[in-house]
Amino acid sequence: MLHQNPTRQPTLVRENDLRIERRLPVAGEVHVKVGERVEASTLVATGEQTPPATLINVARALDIEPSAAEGRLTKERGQAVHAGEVIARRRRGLRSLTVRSPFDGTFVRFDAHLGTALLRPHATLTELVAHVGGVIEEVEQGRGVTIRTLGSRFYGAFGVGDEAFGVLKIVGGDRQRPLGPELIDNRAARAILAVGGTVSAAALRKAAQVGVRGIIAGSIEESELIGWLGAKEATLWRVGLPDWRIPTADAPLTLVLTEGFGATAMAQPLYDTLTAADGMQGAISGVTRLSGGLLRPEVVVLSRSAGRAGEDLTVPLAALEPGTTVRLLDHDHLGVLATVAEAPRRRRLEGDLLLSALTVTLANGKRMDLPTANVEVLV
Amino acid sequence: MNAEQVRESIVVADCGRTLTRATLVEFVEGACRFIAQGTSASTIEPPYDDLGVGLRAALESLEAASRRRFADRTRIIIPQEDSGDGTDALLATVAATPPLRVGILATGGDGILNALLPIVRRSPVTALPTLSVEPTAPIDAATSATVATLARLQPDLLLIVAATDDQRGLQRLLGLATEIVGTSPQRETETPPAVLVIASEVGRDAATSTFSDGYEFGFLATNEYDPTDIALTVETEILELNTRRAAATLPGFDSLEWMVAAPPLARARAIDLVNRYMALQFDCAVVTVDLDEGFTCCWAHGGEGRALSEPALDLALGATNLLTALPLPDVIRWLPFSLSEDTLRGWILNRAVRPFTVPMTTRDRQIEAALTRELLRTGATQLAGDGPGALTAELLVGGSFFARWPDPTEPFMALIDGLDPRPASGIAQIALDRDALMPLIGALGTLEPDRAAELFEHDSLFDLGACVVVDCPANEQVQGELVYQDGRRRNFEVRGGEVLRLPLRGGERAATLHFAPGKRARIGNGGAGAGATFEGELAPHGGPVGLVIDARERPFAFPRNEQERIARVGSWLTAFQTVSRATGGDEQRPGEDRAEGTPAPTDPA
Repeated sequence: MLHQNPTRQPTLVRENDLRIERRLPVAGEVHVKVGERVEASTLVATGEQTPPATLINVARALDIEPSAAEGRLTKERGQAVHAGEVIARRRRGLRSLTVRSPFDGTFVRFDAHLGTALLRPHATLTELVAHVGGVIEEVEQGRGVTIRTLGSRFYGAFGVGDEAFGVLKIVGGDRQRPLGPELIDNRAARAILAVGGTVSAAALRKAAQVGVRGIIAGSIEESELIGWLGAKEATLWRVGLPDWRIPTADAPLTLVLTEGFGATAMAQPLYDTLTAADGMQGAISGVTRLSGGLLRPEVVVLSRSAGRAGEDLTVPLAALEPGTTVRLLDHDHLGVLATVAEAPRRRRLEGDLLLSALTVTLANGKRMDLPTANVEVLV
Repeated sequence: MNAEQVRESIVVADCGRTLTRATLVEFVEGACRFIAQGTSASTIEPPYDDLGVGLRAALESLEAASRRRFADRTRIIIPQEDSGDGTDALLATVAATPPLRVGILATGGDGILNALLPIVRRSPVTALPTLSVEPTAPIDAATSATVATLARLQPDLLLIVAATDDQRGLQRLLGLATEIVGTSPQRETETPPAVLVIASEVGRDAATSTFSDGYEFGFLATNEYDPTDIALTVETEILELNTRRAAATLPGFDSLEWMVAAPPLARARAIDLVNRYMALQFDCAVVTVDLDEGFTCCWAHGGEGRALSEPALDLALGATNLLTALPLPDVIRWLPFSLSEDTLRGWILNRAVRPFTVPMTTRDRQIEAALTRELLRTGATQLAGDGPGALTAELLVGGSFFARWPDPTEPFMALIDGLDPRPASGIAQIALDRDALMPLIGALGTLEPDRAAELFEHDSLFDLGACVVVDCPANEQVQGELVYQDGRRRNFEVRGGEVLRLPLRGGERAATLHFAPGKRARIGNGGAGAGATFEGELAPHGGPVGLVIDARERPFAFPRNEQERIARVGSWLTAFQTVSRATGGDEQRPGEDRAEGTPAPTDPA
């Protein structure tokens, strides 16, 4: 079994019939029909999401007993409140203590026992766009659609930011070249930039400044990422297992890293896929979740051709069979590609280590025995 | 199967977040023995979304290893058939469940809080910050910040401890608690948090009216139970809540529950049970640590036991938490090469995004071992902090995580360096749970305690060797003699700050280990210069590593100069990896007695 990716497909699917599922987080309404052609920006569904209610301790804010707080309220049950509007007030000496609503919403109720007010924000409209151009193949009423398109898709190792789409632009002209701010100018606005090497905080800032929608790069030094996000090292990586996901809300643009952290250049097949799609529409997602619903950052680029007649465009399932191209995953072999020479079987490696292992052939012809867990099917 | 029938064959599944094991144990020639094991990657995440897929794959792997069938197309074959296929019972330990997030709000009653904290610490939960408030003092900024943090972290279980007769304390805690979890569940789709109030009986109505609507709510009256009873009740509640949440959130867990002969046991809990058993069985202080599926560290001596379980901290899915849990310069100091902190951070992050990988190169393993050492030091410090003095242990057991390093000296060193045991006798035995049997022995013990004891006795621990910790000043040396069972003798000499490894085979116990008196060297709790003699039951027994005489300075000293540090750590590694043939001693055959006081000749080998 292969467990690095959220599908059973190889990390890279090239020039194939892709089915992109688009689903609302809440029930809503689908606005397109089966067979309809959509662009990446087409609104395909909408839904209303009600944020959780917020409890405000009025008694504590006014420094009075809970039972006395009700008399200080300026709003009643069911009344609308606006962001910043006073919901309770008390005069203390020359000063006036006030409690304000943090958002637009409704005053739900007051608990005289605890001195707390419950406020519910207004529902927010969630708009789901197609994200990629293609044809609506399936509609799941109230939830979303499946879009069929011809293109290439691959997963990254790590990403930051939500979804973005735009015209793909290769920068640098060399797979090893890092992305610095000097390579970015106003012509990159609204585009998705791709570079084979690393990316710096300065380049990410410049990209956000000129309106770049996303960047695909080989890797990044953690210090550059921290510097760009302006995050605190101490808290950024403190993740809980139920939902292994770093905060991404503050990312000014979407970033997808194909290799991860450090200075490893993008794997050649991924770079070749991107250069072949230079100037085409691309769609990316930086969401990375390793537990509680595995999600990897994802890149989709549309194909230049419409596919050849009679060509089998069934997306293959990943299989570690002889001849398959794999990517090595343990830290000292990051960025190394190999070909499967012998399929996995349970065997003893160095030090009497009994585990599922396979034999691969490296580019220099050297054969190597590896735990199956240390490879992923690349193509 | 009815209660009269004997279970001849039991399969125990160990379901983790990354790996699922299926282990077959059977009654063979009068004892329960380990027969075979199958493993598979776990499948609780997409594209599988079903714990059962991984379990089935692990069973297939077990079938291949044992050449027997355990499942047909639709079910696990229970009981065992005449053909030998199937099993009489299936048991399970689980580490795949997301750890419960537990928060504690307290006012007054240090006794209850002190009893609760170790319980929370040893349970498979993520402990959120504990908030202690005074009943009447104004709420300060720090309290408000902690309340906000707890609200953001959304506890699964909130323990409200108001061990005071002043009802204002409970009122205050209830108010803060509602700010953390709300006065009613916020979303229908979410599992509401559980709230357990521990307070005087007079507070029951107030607590009930606040939280009985929509929450899993419980109340323990402080005037009816003592702190120990309350703590044990809370532990039971935590474990049961863990199982209920697993059933609600873990795909495939409910099917597993239907199949098993006893409720699935949390992996960390199972290891703790076996650690306590070992302490009683061997009548010594025992420490067991594992980094498989979270960090588990248990200490037990006699009837006393302490444990630490950090399910979100390990070298796989929990790796990023190492960045905040450990001081990275302290990790780097253990490496026999230079490594920048930035590079180490990148290494940790790359491991986190590829949590299934196994280190293959020496460099990779050395980084992993350095992280492990510091993690063990953190765990040992926390456990020792609960009790008097430093963490003493005569037996150190490394869990299955340590078995993935091919060179046995690597786990041996990591356990010694990380736990830094100070055995009263001076000798610590080091062993591995090489086949990951401890969790299953713990689970088996809940159903068949005698079988579990047999399995432990025959198949559980793999001895790596023994370590004598010598407190020896740097300018002095300690001399001694190791006598083997066949009468061979080996003299040795170790200088302060150095390590000497002597051969002592697996399964062999030394006849005598003698340290000569003189100067200021101290063995265990013995006096300075008193020397020591270990023989009979007290003598060390060996393993692939043998007997290590460790006279390094404690706490471990690392030179500030980088080149000197690398040289020193490198010399430790070399000493551990080199079995002494000559250093400071020699080997004599029986009958080759040397006159007393004759200096040891140098062995040309």
